[in-house]
Amino acid sequence: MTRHQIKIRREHVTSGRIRNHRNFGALQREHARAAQRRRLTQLFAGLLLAVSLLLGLYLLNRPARPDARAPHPELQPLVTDTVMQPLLPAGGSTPLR
Amino acid sequence: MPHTVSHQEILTEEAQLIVAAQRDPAAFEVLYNRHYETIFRYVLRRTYDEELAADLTGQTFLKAMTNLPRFEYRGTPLLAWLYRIAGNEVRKHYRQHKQAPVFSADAAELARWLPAETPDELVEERLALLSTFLERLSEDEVLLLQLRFFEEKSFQEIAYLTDLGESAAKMRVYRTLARLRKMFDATPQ
Repeated sequence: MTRHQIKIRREHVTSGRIRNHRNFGALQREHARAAQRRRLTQLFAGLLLAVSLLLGLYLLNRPARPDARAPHPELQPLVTDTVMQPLLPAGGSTPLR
Repeated sequence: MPHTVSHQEILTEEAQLIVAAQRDPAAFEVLYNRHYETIFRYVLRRTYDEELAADLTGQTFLKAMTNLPRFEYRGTPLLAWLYRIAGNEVRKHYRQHKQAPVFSADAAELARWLPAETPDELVEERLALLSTFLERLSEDEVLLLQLRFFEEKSFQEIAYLTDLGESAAKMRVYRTLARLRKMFDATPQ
């Protein structure tokens, strides 16, 4: 950060000139606009919060559904001692012979 | 016997105006008109440009108006609170624009710092010297001098505005003055 500067004003700023900058009407309008923006932001934030709460509640209380990854009772793996042979093509010979 | 208005009466009247403005923003106009010039001059001394000072003063009053409902009146004058907001706005401006802070003073205002016996033909030269010395001080030190000697604030108010203790503020002001005096003494006449 650079150091500060000291400047000397040759011209005195009079009270009359300062009064020309005073504008309460403009300040009031700006304040009203800012208040409106704040209200809209609060409304949006409130809505967002309500939607998130509702979504959270729905996710917590939704009915339990059967898990698609759980094995189907009729599709249990078959354990057997029999060695399964691959099916041969209709001609009776395998392509390797 | 004429009735003189005491400091306490002014504060009580101000407290009533604040309560009225908290209920109705339009009632803030009295306080705005009352303190506008003081805050404008303070901001102008911490900048150089009149338009910028007007802009930052406007921002200060907008912030004050917005936060007024939360303002708790505990005996600290509203003006001190406005000074604090204005100081923050000025700092924010320099930070955002990455500019070095500027302090400015009227030549006549600054000339009061020179010894009374300074010959007229040397005033300009001495003022230039004084501003060079002020630039050698830290920003905080210049701010303390500004608050004490240009804004004519009490040490209690300076403490509130700078977050220093009252005795620490007093000590720093006197130390800074002593440094300035030493710089002047070291200058060949």
